[in-house]
This record gives sequence, structure tokens and C-alpha cells, in this order.
Amino acid sequence: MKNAITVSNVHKTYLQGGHRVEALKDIDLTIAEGEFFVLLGPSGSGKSTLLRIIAGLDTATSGSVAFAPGLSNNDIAFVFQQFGLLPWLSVSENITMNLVGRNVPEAEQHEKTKQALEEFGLTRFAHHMPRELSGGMRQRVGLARAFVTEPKIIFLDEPFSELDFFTAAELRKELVTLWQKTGCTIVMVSHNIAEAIELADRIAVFSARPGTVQSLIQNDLKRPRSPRSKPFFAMEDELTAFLTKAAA
Amino acid sequence: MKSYHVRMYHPFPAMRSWEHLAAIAGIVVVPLLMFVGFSLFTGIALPSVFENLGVSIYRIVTALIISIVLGWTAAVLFYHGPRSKVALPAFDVLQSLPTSATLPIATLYLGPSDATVIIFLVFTIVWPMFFTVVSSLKQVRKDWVEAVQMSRISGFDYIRLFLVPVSVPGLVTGTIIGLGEGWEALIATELIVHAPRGLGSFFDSFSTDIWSTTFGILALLAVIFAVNKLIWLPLLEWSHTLIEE
Repeated sequence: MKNAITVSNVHKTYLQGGHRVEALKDIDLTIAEGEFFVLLGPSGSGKSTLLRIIAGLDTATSGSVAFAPGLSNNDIAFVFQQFGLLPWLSVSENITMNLVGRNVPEAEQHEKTKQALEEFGLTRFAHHMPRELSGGMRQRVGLARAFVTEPKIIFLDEPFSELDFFTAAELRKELVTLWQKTGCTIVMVSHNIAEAIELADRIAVFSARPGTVQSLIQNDLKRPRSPRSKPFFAMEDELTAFLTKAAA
Repeated sequence: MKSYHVRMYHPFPAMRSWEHLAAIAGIVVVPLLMFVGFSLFTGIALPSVFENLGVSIYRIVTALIISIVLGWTAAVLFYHGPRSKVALPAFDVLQSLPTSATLPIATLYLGPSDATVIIFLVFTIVWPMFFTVVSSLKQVRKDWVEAVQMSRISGFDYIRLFLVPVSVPGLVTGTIIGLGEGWEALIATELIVHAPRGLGSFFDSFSTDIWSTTFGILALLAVIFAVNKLIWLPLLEWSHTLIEE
């Protein structure tokens, strides 16, 4: 399988209160096309920083990020932890914005937005403003906005951490269904071990600051994954041990 | 089915709707009646009163439009990044320049024209506009900026879908502050340059009559109050709901 993303020797340092902080050190990763890849680690381990560097929202102090040949900025999308919806645009306008930015013809914009609204159960809320929606519905809009452009790679920064347990569980299932249907590559940040096991093909466990990749775990559990199964528990124990070591 | 959410602005929230309508009618009618009363009191023909008021409104509205364009453009160009480190202190000094000291020279070269009055009004209104828009832009949430960056919108779409909406609270606040200072600067400028027509020269014509001057100022305040109640305060409330999450 071809690599969608290659991260080579990425370092990130920044100044905080006059002190130089090393956020990321010696990060080397390859993420395959169509893979569901999770960056897992304790708070402050730099996993979100790495995601943002890969997505082009931040810059590395040194090192490089390369996408597979033929992939452009228009082929990637981002889902934010706090949704990132523009409050002056309606639900449908928030979704359409990503199509406007990619110069999709207007008639096609309407059609694709309509489809995305239907797919994410948002049709009835098309003309609502984001402030009128619950957290779960807002993240549905965030996901619809990401998927509407049919991206090859989607980055998700702790997308379910602001949601209640049931909504997060429901959205995780929908995300897996969409990922399987579209075949896109997903790179997601999480600090939730069970979530990482439920979703990921591979998990990169990060150490505490400076963030380094402590271990790469292949997750071959059969889908759909039951969090009550023995192999799930075994992997949870394994990752907990890794994370405890990483956080130390 | 489309659903619409209309928030009606109530200048006096405790009132019932007929009282609300009566209050609005009152806000519109009272200033007009004051001008009629002023005309009867001073013996100045009513068309002349409205002509002079109209000329001044034309000057201040023109200056406001120019200030919005200039202030907003400068704010967008200089609110962040390395340029802001030089531009913001420089603009802060510039806004303190006593521009009225140069009025006599400007009048000498430009004459007592509409242009002279409008230019000096722009100097008064543009600064609050600039700094309030800068303040609005600096308060923009990081994830909005990043969402826009990931959407890849650019050019006119970037202005229309992002820059203008996030600037609106600053533009409305800047307009309210700018006009507050602008009315005062307008009368003063018209008086100093001896502008043909307008409220400044109008007040000048009966400046020694204390009662006519007082009546005139009260009538003008009634107009300013009405405009604030009916236009700027509802706009201020709306502008903040625009960025409310």
C-alpha cells in the first residue's frame, strides 16, 4: 500500500514566557493511503501540534512533511475539537464554504451540500445558526463540512472530546462507516485509549514533552469492534501500560 | 421548510407592542416637532432649517462612508503581524494630532467648501473606526481563522465570508463613537471655515441669541437621540449576535 503522508525528522520548539519549549522531537512517521491512524498521548505531548503541522496549520522548526504525489491542499480537510463553525453562517453555509474555497460550480455546491446535510441528518437544521445546535449536532456539521469536498485525507483533532458519551459513541460509528465507504485516509488525535482502539488501524503512542513517538501499535481487531471483548481489553491494558510509561 | 428567526429590537423592553410602536413614532415625531417649534420661535423659514440640516447630514454621512472604507482597509492591513508593530503606535500618535489647528490653512487652499468640511470630519471619524475594527479583528477565535484557512476561500469570498462579518461589531461601535465626535466636529468645522450652508453657519447666524441657540442644540440632540435609538443601538445588538456562539 502506498504512503499518503511521510513525516521526516520533525522538530518543533517555541517560546513561552521567554523560555524555549521543545514540543516535538525526532518525529518520523509514515501513514498509508486509506489507513485510520490515531495519535494517542497524554496532554501536552504535542500530538495536536504534530497534526496541525501535517495539515499545514502550523510549521515545524525543522524536518519535513510530504504527501503522496498528486495530492494537493484541496484534497485535505480538518475537523476541529471545538467545531470551528463560523457563527454568522447558517449550517448549510458553513458546509458550502469548503466547496466555495475549492471553486466548485454553484449548482454543484447546492447539490453536494444537500447530500451532505442528508447524510449527516442535518436537513432539518440547514437554515439554523450554529448557536442553535447542541454540541453533537455542531460536530455533525463539522464532519459534514469535512466530508463534503470528498477529501483524500481528513485530520481530526480530538473531535469527540467535547461531546457526551452517547453522542460521541454514535458519531464514532458514523465516522467508521464513512471512512469505509469513502476509503479516505484519516489521521486523528485522541487521548482516549478505548476510542483509539475502536477506530484505529495503527496507533502512535506519544511520550510526554518533548513529544516523541514512543511506540507504534498495529490494531488488527476485527471490525466492528466491541469494547466488551477480551482482545479489546487486552489491547487496552497494553496501551495503558505504554501510556503510563510515556507519561512518566 | 425554511424557518426564520427574527429578533425585534425593543428600545423600551418593558413595553407592550402598541406602546412600543407609539414610542418609535414619538422618537421620529419629536425631533420634527422640535424643528417646527424652532422655526416658529426664531422666525427662520422651515425649509431653510431642513436645508441646512440636510447639508450637514450629507457632509457627515459622506465622511462616515469614507471613514468606514479607509478605517476598515487600514485595520485589515495592519491589525497583526510585523506591520502592526510599527503601524499601531504610529496611528495612535496620528489620531492625537490637533487637526483643527490646520483648518485655517486648509480653508485657504481648499476654500470653505464641502470638501474641506468632509476631509476634517474624516480625520475625526476614521480613528475610532480603525481602532474598533482592529479590536474586533484581534478578538477573532483561532479556530475560526483555521477553519477559514482549511476551507481555502480566498479573494472576494474571504472578504465576504470572513473579514466583513468579523469586522461588523467594530464597524458599528466605531460608527457610534465616530458620529458622536463627528457631530461636534461638524458644527465646529462649519463654524471655523464659514462653510456655505450647514448647521455650523446656521448656528453662526444667531450665535448671539442664547435662547435660539439652546433651542437649536436641543432639536439637534433630539435628532441624534432618534438616530441612535432607531438605527445604531439595534445595529449594535445585532452585530454582537452575529458572532455569538
